[in-house]
This record gives sequence, C-alpha cells and structure tokens, in this order.
Amino acid sequence: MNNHPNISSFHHALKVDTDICTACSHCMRNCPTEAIRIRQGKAVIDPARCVDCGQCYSVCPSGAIYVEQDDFNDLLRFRFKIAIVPMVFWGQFDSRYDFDTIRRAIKMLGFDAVFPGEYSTGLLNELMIEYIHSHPDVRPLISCFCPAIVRLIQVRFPSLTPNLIPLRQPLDLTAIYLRKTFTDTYSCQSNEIGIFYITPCAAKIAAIKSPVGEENSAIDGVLNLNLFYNRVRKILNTPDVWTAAPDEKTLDLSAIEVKWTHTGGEKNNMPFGGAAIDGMSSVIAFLEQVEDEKFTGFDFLELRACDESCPGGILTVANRFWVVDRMQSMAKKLPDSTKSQKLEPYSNYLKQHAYIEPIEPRGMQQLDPDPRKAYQKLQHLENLAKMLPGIDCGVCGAPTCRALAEDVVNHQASISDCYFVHMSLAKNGRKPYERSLKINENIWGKKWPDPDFFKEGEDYDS
Amino acid sequence: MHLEFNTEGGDFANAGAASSSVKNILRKMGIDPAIIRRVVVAIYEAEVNVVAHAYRGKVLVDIQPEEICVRVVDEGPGIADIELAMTEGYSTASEKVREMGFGAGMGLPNIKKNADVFKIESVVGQGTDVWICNKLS
Repeated sequence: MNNHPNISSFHHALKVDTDICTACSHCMRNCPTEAIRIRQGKAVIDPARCVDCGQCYSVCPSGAIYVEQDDFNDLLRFRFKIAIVPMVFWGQFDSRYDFDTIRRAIKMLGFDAVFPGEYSTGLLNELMIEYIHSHPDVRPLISCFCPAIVRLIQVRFPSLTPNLIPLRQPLDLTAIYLRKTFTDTYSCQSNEIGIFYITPCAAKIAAIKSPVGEENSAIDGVLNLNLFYNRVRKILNTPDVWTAAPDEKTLDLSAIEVKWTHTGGEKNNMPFGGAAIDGMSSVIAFLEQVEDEKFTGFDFLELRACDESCPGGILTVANRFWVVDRMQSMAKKLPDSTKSQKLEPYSNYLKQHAYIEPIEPRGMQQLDPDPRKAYQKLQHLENLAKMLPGIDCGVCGAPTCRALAEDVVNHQASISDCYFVHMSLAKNGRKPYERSLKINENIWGKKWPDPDFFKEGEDYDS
Repeated sequence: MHLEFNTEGGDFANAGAASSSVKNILRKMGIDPAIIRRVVVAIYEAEVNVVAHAYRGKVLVDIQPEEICVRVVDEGPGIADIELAMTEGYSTASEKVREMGFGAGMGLPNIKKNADVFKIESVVGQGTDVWICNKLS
C-alpha cells in the first residue's frame, strides 16, 4: 500500500497468515496507526505505517496474526551460546521458582550463559541523567527504551525525533558487554559467540532486525517468550534442575534492574520532573499535546506501547498485573541501586558504545513527496471526506471514513468502496447490483453474500 | 484551502482546535516538522489569547501550497498599549486565568517569535485583530 518513494522498507515481525485470516477486521479497527486494510477477504498490513506495537496480534480472535521468530536450532552454529532474557520472563513463574533455578533451567536448554537484558540498566540510568543535564534546551526528552514508541514518533510525531535520547536499549548494551567479556575471557572471535534474545514483544524483534540509529544489532537471534516459556517449563518439571552445579555463581541484581521495564521503572530513578505513560492510545493522545507545546516543565518522558509496559508484552504468558506484583516482591529482597563496579573493567568501553546516531523522522503522513501535489490531494481528500457518512463502519475495508478518503486520493481505493456511496449510486441507477457485489467481493472476498444463506431459515421466512 | 473556527472567551478546555487541525493538514502536505511546530505554536498562543482575554473570536485560516495565513479576530476589551503587551512577562491576565497555568505574559512575544509575518491591530472596547503568515518551505 505504500507508494511513498522516500521510505525504505523496515523489517516487521508481525505477519498475517492468510490461510487463517477470516477478515473479521478486529485488527483493522484496533490498529493505533491505521495501518491495516481488508483486501480480497484478508487483513493487509501497510509496512510504512506499522510500528510493531502488536495490538493486532492481541485482538485477533483466530490467531491469524503471528510473530516471526528465528529457529531455535540456529544457536547450534555458535561455539558460545548466550541467552539474554528480560526480567519479565522470571515474573512469569510463581514464587516456588527462584531466580537461580529458572536461570539454570534456561542454561539446560543448551546455553553457556544466561543474563537478564536489564543487566546494563544501572549504567544506562547514569548516562541518561548525564544526557538530560547536558541538553537543557531540549524538553521534554524521551527515552528510546520502547522500540514501538521510537517508531511511532518517527512515523507520527516526526517533529519530536530530536527529543529522543539517543541511547541504546539495555538489551543491546548488555549484549555488547557480554560479547566483549566472552571474546576477552576465552580469546575467541566475535562470530563464535551467538547471543539470543528472548522477546516479550514484536517491536523488539523489529528493532533487532532493522535497528534504528545503529548499523547492526549485537543480537544474533530472537526467540519468542511464549514458546521459550514452554521449553523452560518442561525442564522445570525434571529433578536435575533443582540441584545447583558446584561452580554456579549467582548474579548481582538490583531493584532497578528488576523493575526497569515496569511503568515508572525509568522515571522513578530520575532526579527530574516527568511522566511515565503506558498504552498506545494514552501515549498518542499525550504526544499530540506535547507536539503542540501545551505542556511545559516536563524534563523526561518514559513512554511504553503496552499496558503495564513489558509485563503486558504481547508474547508474555501470565497476567500482567500478577507479573508486576511478583517482580515487585522479587525486587524488595534486592539492593536499590546497582553496584558501580559491576560492569568493570568494561564501563568505559560500554560508555563509548552506548550512544546511537540521532533518530531520523520517517514522516510518511504526507500525501505526496511533491508539496504541490500533496496540497491538491489534500483538497481532494477534504471534499471526499464531506461526501462520506463519517460513521467509521469499516465496511469499505478501511478503519475510518477519513482513512478511506486518504486511500482514494492515493489511488489505493475507490470512493464507491463506501457502502453508502455505492448504495446511493445503485439507487440512482448509476451502478447496478452486480457492480455492488463486485465491490463487496474485492474487499471482503467471495464468502459474502452466500447464496446458501437463506436455506436454513426458509421456514421462518415464509 | 479555507478553514474557520469559533473560539469562546473563557473556554480553556477547548482551546487548541484550530492549531490541531492545522497541524494535521500541514503534516499531510509533508511540510518540514520544524515549520509546522512554529505555525502550530503561533496559532495556539493566539487561540489562548482570545480565550483568556476576549468574549469571543474567530480563527480564519488560509492554506496555500507555499504559505499559510491565519487571522485571529476577536470581540473583546482590546489592547490599550500594544508595545507594552509585546513585552515578555507583561500580562493583564486575571488571577483565575493564571491559576490555570496561562497568563505568563509570553503570548504575543511567542506568536511574534514563531511567525514570519506578524501584525496586530486593536481598538480598545472593540477587539483585537492578529495576522500570522508563515512560509511553508
């Protein structure tokens, strides 16, 4: 659907299985960036508008939307196999399973080392505070933690891209740390080390496969948290996992790390005024106002696409509120701040590698790359919008009347795709019934109208 | 392209309708985000001025491919000393208005700062007329 020449293709982890999709249109109605249309009886995702937030995945009743992942056996290629696992993974299990037992179970899947993705958050927290102090002219500054939010800002709020703090995500910095540690300790080549990330969401996959502001990711493969959970769960049922290996060292963890991916996890460790906002619709409504400069006095914004942030990730298994509670009780037993020597001797190395390039806008809201043409299309769009009923019924295969009008000016739909428009035309004899059927078929496929539809109801009818 | 918005004095809750609509239109035209930001801030400040000081007003927007011109005209008390009103920090806003976070005396200076062409005329006891024009490229 994307006809803008200035947009390179971005990797998306969310896909539609057209064999399963029934064109129920739940995804289309819930997509916060209006990226989905129904065509020929199937949902189609526009790669230019999609920000990989995963709301479509969550609302799909038939499981037709799936999240692409790498092959688990890919890790066999590497001499050293490392798993980077988000803390929310531990939150999926009840208190019978402590941190080390779960870590051991993950290792038993074939990993040489298991680290939480948040291992580097202590350092990131320092760098973020430093960055906010040294950029007093840009307010509010926005964390780059959630990749769906970074993409949302690029696509929908391009004027706010300079407000993004160009620091890596914790999982990337942790990966850089581990790669360095392993190459130095075992004097091996970087390509002998395979680092796999267990992801709670689609956005992280997209960010790893086509990183924003960095050349390539330090991660070699991504596995989906829900499927990984099943593998670990199986191992936890075996007796071996309960006996610690004699050489096993526990990890220094802090409450910051455990709670970092919760709503408020970043903001609560900042000596600045700000807000922590979760959920796509709340974030969008808030950013609209930030863009108009209706707020002043905010220094820092922590924005997360999922409700309850990462515990609400679309690939998590347990209830998000339960997970937050479980992790908070884990955090209570830990020191508040990270030991500063934890990442030594690599702190300076990591500081040098912590920054990414400034994030560029991907402003694809424009109707045409040529401003004059865009203006003409806009006038056309406004006129079309007046013709449409404004009830956003979705029967045209677009989520709103305005979205249809925009598709029409971009030659991706016809105004008579609107049920009310083609009924009006049919009534005036300008489009016969057959033509209406054809329009319907182009959008919803051949399933409707079904010629056998009335057979069962015949008795009631007469 | 012409747009028209009505603004009611005292209706802070709905201030910003004109600037939001203009923002969405300029985005669709593919205008540089930095230019959009200037335009939107200027219009929003002008809208807030009507809400804070006048009885009622209109925002008249004309968008062309190269330029946007906005006229904000109100019925209100008018401004006795425009030069003074243009001074940063000077404000005649009431305590009530200040309590809502407005009336810091930055309105008119901020409009001027964000407009390419800025013009203001006022008749005491009748109202104020503000013109804002910005190039779009």
